[in-house]
Amino acid sequence: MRIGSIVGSVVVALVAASSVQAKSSDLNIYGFMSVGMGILDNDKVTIEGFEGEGNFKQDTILALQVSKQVNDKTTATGQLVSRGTDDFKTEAAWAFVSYQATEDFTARMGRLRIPFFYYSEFLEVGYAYNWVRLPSDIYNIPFSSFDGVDFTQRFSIGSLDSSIQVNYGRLTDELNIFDEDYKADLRNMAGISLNSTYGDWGFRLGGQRTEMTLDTEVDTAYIAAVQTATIAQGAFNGDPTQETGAALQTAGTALGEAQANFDKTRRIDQGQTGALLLSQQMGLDVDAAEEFAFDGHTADFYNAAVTYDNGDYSFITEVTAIEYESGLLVDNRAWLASVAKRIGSTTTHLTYSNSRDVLNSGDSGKLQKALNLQGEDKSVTLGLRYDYDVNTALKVEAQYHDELIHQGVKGDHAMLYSFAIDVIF
Amino acid sequence: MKYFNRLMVSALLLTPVLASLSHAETAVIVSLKNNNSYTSIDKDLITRIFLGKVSDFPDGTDVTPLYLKQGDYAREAFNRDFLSKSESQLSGYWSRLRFSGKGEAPEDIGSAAELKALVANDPSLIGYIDSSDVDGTIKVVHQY
Repeated sequence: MRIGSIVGSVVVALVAASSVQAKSSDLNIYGFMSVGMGILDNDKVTIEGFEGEGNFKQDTILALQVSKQVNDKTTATGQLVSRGTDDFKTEAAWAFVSYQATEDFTARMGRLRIPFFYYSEFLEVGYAYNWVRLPSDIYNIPFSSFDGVDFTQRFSIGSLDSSIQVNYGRLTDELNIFDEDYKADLRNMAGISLNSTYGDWGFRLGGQRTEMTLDTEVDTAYIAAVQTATIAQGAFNGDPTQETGAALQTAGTALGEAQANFDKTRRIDQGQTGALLLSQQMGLDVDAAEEFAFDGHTADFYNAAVTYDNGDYSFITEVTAIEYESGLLVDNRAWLASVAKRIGSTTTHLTYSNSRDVLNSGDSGKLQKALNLQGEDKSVTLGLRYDYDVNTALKVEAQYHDELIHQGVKGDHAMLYSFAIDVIF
Repeated sequence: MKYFNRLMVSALLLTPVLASLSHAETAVIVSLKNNNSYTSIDKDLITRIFLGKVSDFPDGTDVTPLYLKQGDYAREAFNRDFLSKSESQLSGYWSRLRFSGKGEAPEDIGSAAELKALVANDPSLIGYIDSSDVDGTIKVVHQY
């Protein structure tokens, strides 16, 4: 609804602009599209959203970008994206007005992408990178846009060309985390990114912070049932009479029902409820109600990347760190390194990526461990990109993915074979 | 012997052709009205201007680059020698900027004649043409 109204106002702005500013440049329409399929050889593992059999919808994306120069310094841009993973619902990834104050300073306002990491601002433009999709060990943050402003200042020192981008805003949206939806309010989303290039080299540093509020709920009925059952158990153990036995049986039945309901709640709800129970049972020195919650708890995202591209050989390495104030999501460290060699129209690339959750120190970490929250993954991807023509790329890829730890226990591994066609127009 | 001679002759004939192929020169041009203090622009700066990383001439005045249309021989040479990119890589480069709202690729001009006419009339423009298309209407600031 919110997105709809933003898009609506941009469209109105564009129409108004075109009738008033007869002299300004034309309406520009561009787009990109990816169609792909993947086959996973192990149905016990879910990677990149694939589960077992061949799947066409996962990698299919269509986007249209409309932009209109309103006057010398002002441009309105909208980018509508429709994703197979989202049943082809259309969403505005971008909808903003930009004001170019000087050659080197630009301010933008509206719906923008969050510049988390190197590829974040064009993360769905398959044509713009060699992979079928970005490595999920790094690119798996469940939100990518925000509503707000950003300012970009470009500057050069000798042959080192740089830009500093500062962004601030908010996102109110449904987030899909662990395949379940949460209503989220991400306030005070603020960040800074520095991008530089020097000849064939590129460098990037970035940091983002936001205050996360999710509509997670503590299952109080389950906690009460567990407590009642625990007391009944204690009473029966101390004085095993028919009366205490009957009470224990009643409490046990009630707990069974409460357990069935608890199992139906979402994973972060379970984590929040479990944290309250376990912190007591384990006698941990953790304020679980305060720390294992999402009520304005900060999340910090840090990133550094080095790239090299001389046209024939290219290379990127990127490291990321995510710090959650809430104990319900585990801090994460991830990195990737990728090399590519182009011969004519064919580019061969090889990538290693690793993602590792890092438990908090002390009792908070013990609680996270007891809740089975942490994971560790690594992937090796070998792929070919063939540039069929200037606007079309064909890609094939084989990815070995190893879930070293999945939800606190040893995971499994799988091969994912993918094919995609990426087009820009 | 006769055969050998013929080989020699054809090799001699071929030499200038090969030389001109490998040394096919690209000229980077600006307007004659571009009365800036510099007389040439180095290759590194040209690359940065044509990739949208720098928006000023060396003297600080605004510069807007123009490309020749896709498939033009001079464009292919320029992409290879100055930008170190294939046509697809260049397309990928600009699609990153376009779809993140950070920049638009330079305009593609249909022919060297058209490009010269545009550059001649506007001191803020810079373009490239094959050296054989150079004439007195424009000023060459770099030749490769």
